[in-house]
Amino acid sequence: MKIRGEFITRQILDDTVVLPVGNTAIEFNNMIMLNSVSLVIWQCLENDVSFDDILKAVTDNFEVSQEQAVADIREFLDGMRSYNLLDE
Amino acid sequence: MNMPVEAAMVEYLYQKASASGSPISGTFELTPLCNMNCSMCYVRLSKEEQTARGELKSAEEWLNLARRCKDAGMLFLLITGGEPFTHPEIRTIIEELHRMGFILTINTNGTMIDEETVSWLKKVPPARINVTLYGADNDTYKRLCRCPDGFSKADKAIMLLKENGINIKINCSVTPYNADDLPEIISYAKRNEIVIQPTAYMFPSNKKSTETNNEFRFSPEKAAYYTAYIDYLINGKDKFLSFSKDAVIPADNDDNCGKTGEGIKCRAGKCSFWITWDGQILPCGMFPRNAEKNAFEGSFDELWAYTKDMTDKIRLPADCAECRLKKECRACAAMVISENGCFDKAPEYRCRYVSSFYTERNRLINEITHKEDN
Ligand code: SF4
Ligand code: SF4
Repeated sequence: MKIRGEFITRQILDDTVVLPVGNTAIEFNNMIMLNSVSLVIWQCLENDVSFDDILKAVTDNFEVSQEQAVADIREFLDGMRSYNLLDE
Repeated sequence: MNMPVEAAMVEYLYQKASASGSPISGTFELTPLCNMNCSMCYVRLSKEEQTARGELKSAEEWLNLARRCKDAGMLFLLITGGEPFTHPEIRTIIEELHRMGFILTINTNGTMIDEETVSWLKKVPPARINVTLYGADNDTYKRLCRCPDGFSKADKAIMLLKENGINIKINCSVTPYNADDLPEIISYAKRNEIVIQPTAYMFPSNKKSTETNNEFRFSPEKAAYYTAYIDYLINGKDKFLSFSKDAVIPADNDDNCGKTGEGIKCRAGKCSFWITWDGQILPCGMFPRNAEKNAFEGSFDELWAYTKDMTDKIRLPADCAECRLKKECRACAAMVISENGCFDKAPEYRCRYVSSFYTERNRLINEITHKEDN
């Protein structure tokens, strides 16, 4: 799976903000704010990855249980799906 | 998906930026020139007047400034004028700004936006385009804006933008010149399911007299009446009447007067700034244009520090601090200075507007219920 569309990431104070660019901004006229975990997920999704690749990146980077990481990733992916921002 | 950028995230970012004094929001007033010539306009200059005051800045100059603003933390950017679409390099400017990663809004009268403009805009869509409507037909545009086909053009632009999925809002300044069109302007917006924000309180023109009988705006009492009337037209009779039982004056800004000697409360100069077409940096566009700094020169951090400092020194009038109406009034620093030219006395026009609001609203309620009885 992979991010669908074109985005630009900006650091605003201590938040990471993702903005749509070009045609993506017509389909998704909004912004996404990423926390440290979702930033790692987002960065994984810049390439074509599997759920397990993302899970590994999250558990490698954060002290978090497997269950919690799976739940966090699922929640984030569901959010992206609801806006049609995921190519699967 | 024609949806606005989520309000809660925007509010969160603004609050954070205000608390840390970071310039998250800017306005670039690209030009004082306009293809129309509206009677009440407080910005427009003729080409001759503009040339006498200075050259327009090029795309490269605006983009260099934007890069410096971006490094300083600017995320929200409003492009305004005059009419921004008259700037000879508007496309280069918008294309680059879009790619730099700003949440862009463009203020326009809409009359220069045609099919070709919209197909270009679709490649670099701003988060929102605010189209100002000055009337509901070409007659009003001819009278008020000296543009006999202005309504047809603005209407066409609105339809094209909407069809092409670009988020739009309609702004409307209600004046004695177009008040009769207000019901139709609002039903136009409703019919087309477009958010509309009309305002009846207008800042005095900084080019003309600042007397309260400034012929281009209502008397304060009439402005109060029309504020209530807008509320009635937008919300419909039932909601208007039920809101009227307890609700206060509809807000027209996010500011209010503080305690005696307190500084200003809004975002101007705390996390937002305005660059005029000739490079002055101001806390907000309604401030007098006498800034000493040129935004196109020097470091942006220094400019921002200067703006914050200028804002910090502002003290609101003691009259306002002690006023029983201050909560509802929400007179902002820009209102005080533009009505009075100074910060040490209450802005009389605003005081009359606020203190007559309930009487004027009751007048309207009587008219509405009376109409029903007949
Ligand atoms: S369209 Fe706007 S900028 Fe142009 S003259 Fe009218 S009010 Fe001024
Ligand atoms: S009504 Fe007048 S004195 Fe009172 S807060 Fe408003 S502007 Fe100030």
